[in-house]
Amino acid sequence: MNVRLDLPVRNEKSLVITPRVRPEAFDEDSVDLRLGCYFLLSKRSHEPFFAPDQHTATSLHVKVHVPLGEYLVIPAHETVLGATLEFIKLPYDASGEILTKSSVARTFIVVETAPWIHPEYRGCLTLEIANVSNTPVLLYPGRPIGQLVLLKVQRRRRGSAKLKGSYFGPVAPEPPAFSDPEDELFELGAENVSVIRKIQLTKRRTEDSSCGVR
Amino acid sequence: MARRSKDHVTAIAENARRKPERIEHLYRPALPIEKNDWAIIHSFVKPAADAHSLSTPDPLLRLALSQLHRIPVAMHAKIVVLLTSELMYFQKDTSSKLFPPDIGFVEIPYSQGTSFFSNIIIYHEIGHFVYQLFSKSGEATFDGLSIKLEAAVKGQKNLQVLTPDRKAWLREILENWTKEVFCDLFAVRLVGPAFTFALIDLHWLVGLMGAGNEKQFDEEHPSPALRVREQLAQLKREGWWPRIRKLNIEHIDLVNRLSRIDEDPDDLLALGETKEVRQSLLSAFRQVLPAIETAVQKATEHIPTGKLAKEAADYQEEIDDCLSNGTVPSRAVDRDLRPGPVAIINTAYVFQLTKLGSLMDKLFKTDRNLPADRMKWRRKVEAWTMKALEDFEILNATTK
Repeated sequence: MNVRLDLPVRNEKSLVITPRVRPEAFDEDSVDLRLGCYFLLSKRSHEPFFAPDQHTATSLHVKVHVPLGEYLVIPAHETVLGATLEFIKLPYDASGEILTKSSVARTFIVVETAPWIHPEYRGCLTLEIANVSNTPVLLYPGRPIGQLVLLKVQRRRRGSAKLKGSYFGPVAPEPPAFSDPEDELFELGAENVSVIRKIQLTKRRTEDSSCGVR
Repeated sequence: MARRSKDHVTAIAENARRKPERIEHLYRPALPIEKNDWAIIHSFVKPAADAHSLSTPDPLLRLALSQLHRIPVAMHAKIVVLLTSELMYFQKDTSSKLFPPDIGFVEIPYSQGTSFFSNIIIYHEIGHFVYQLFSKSGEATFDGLSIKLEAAVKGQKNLQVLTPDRKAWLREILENWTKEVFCDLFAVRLVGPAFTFALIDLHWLVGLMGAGNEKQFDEEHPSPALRVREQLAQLKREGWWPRIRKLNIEHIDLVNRLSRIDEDPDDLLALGETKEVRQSLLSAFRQVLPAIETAVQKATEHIPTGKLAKEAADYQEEIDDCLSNGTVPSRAVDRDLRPGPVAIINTAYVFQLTKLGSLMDKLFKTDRNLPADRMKWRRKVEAWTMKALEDFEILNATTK
């Protein structure tokens, strides 16, 4: 692994994990990763539901910055999105999995429900951090939170000449990237898809309230 | 501050009870003064609260502050960023007694809040704050500059025959121009050509780089052409120019073109004085220019800047390699020998101006000719640069 860390970034076999604060974070089979300073907290919406589509995907979160030395409180039974302090670039022939660090897991904090990282991914890893305990827990940016395990992928060459991915190069947690449901379901032959747009809801509410005034 | 205000108002009320004859002339007028002071403070509260760390280039500010603290008169200085609705950068003059003397207020356009490279212009505004600190401190650093200013005005016969108030007004204009050039050179010295590029971009945006506007002086500012020429001289002194002069970008063409422009009295028409007076003012300003450079050197002598240009050149290839492959340039700082933040900023800025396409060509469904795509990846390069500065801070602290 260390050999690959020293390859130039342009080399498709290169591995980047930066900043490397402590060399002992690098084990034979895994790397400890720290918590970054940026978070997305879930917004308390006044809508009766959240419909994931390309217009509403960014309306679910509030971004916050917690500088090093400060902390973020995760209330009991709540989840926040964070990111690793380390920026990762995986080689074309390795994938990764992020796991909760065992000491963190023992405080009833669970990191990741989508832990898989594809070859050639680059960016700070977005972490879904859930507090499954009955007590609020403090999170300090900069402290170890997860472990990255790398796995060799049997590939002789890169799959595509161009790099792709919905989440390319983030340095902070990013809101989800959704297509509209009618676009996705059209591929499966569904020509009529029931959708409710946020704007329709707002309009209806305005109409309702104006009826009340009359 | 609130407690002191409360004590002050309570004291006024108690004194008024004891000496009611003073109410009308002394105590009552004191209250609106207190009220107005609070109104002034409140005008700072909202823009300062809006300028939290998510809407400002926080790593850039921390870097600027760390450099500022090396200047003896600014060792304990703090910078408060305010968001303004205007498309311009300002430094709020805080000579008011309401504020501690070592707090500088810098206003940045809210629309540029999160962008990184444009906000390098804050170095110019911090320069104003430094000028203010030196002027107040009475230190000898600015003595040469003050003497030169006075001598330059006295040496012009056309200025000496003017009425005292007009002479004072022109003297003030001369000092305004002096401050502007001081701040430009201060910024170039601390952050290199990235400042010149950012300033050119801003001047372009507000229409100061064409239609003859680049030659115009006003009461507050010398012409953009003169400012660029002085910056070019500073870039040459600092060793940056030989490393950037061959870059194939409009900024360099513009620097070359503007630096060849010579001022003439007609460029000062906005001042409304006679041609002879305008000519004399220009001559006086030309005499002051060398003293500005000396003042900048003295003011920043404790900030190491000598090797910045070489450092940027040494790491250009590695940082380009990172950025053109979608990776933060922190990789270059992640070792014992690492480039400093100024080198990172300048190499990343040059990458963004010259090689953004090399990154975009590697990406699926991305067109280097689409403005929206270019904007998206330009923002990404800015975010990676900011991340590299943050990582630099962490690694530097770890090494210490």
